[in-house]
Amino acid sequence: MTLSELDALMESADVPVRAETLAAAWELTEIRERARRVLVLVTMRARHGAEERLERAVREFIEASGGLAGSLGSTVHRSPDDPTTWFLLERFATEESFARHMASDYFARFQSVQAKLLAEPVRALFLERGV
Amino acid sequence: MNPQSTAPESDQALLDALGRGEAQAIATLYMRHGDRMVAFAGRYVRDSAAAEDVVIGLLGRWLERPPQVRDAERINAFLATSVYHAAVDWIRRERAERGQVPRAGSDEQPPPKHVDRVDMRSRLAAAMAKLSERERLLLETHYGRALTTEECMEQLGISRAAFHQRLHRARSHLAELLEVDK
Repeated sequence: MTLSELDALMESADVPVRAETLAAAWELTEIRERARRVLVLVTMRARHGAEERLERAVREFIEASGGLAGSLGSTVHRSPDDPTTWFLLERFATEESFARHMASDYFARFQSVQAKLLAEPVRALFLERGV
Repeated sequence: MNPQSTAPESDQALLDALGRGEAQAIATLYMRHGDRMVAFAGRYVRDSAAAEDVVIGLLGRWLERPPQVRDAERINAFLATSVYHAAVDWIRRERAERGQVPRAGSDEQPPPKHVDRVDMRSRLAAAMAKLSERERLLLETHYGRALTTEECMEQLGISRAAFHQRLHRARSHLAELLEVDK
């Protein structure tokens, strides 16, 4: 095998890198100051029989929030252990954009829809780094 | 994954909670290690917003598939490995979306035809395992971009000229091993 062939192979393959090499790189990584964003992890558990309607409502909510200036995107994840539970990870550029999100029409609409579909109140965790 | 309201205190408790699928564990992990996770992803994706995307994507995957980590002493190795692979996947997706052909250095070459992609990974792993510690580090730096050239030089205690000389030898050695294994 020529070195050019090796280079092409290594570029297209998953190069096996040892965990200890990455741990060394981890220790060498400098943490720099950066803009603080708002990250929220919301847990929602559907009432029995309302799972599909809740999922549909959550997806519509995500689509609507994607149009908000300052929204950096949201993703929805279903619990592997409990199919009635969904997690929503929402990101916003600033506290102000998060406040606009909370005050929006689509947020109020979702609040009223979800109230009929949930087995318990939503739980929201604010994910912050290094606090 | 189950919600939980109390933050696990030790790294072992945190990893146990993460493996049990507790949402609070995600929040605690991000608080304790999020800065370094994002900075570490930034080494590879070279963009702070993209680095955050990589880490948030990883948290999302952990919500759906809680990771099982038994040894808290290896938490840094676990986080480094997870973030590294998430960053490599992100780079691959970006390149694919831009329609870029994978390339190495300045030599654009298609992958060799005689190599079956399915067993490429195991063959590479087997060949790399036969290399010396120093050769592996050079190749992990050059091909895997795990360390910067400067960090690798520092780890090996060698000059830039020696780095390039030894890298050439390590590449040749790996090519030989893969040729024999063909």
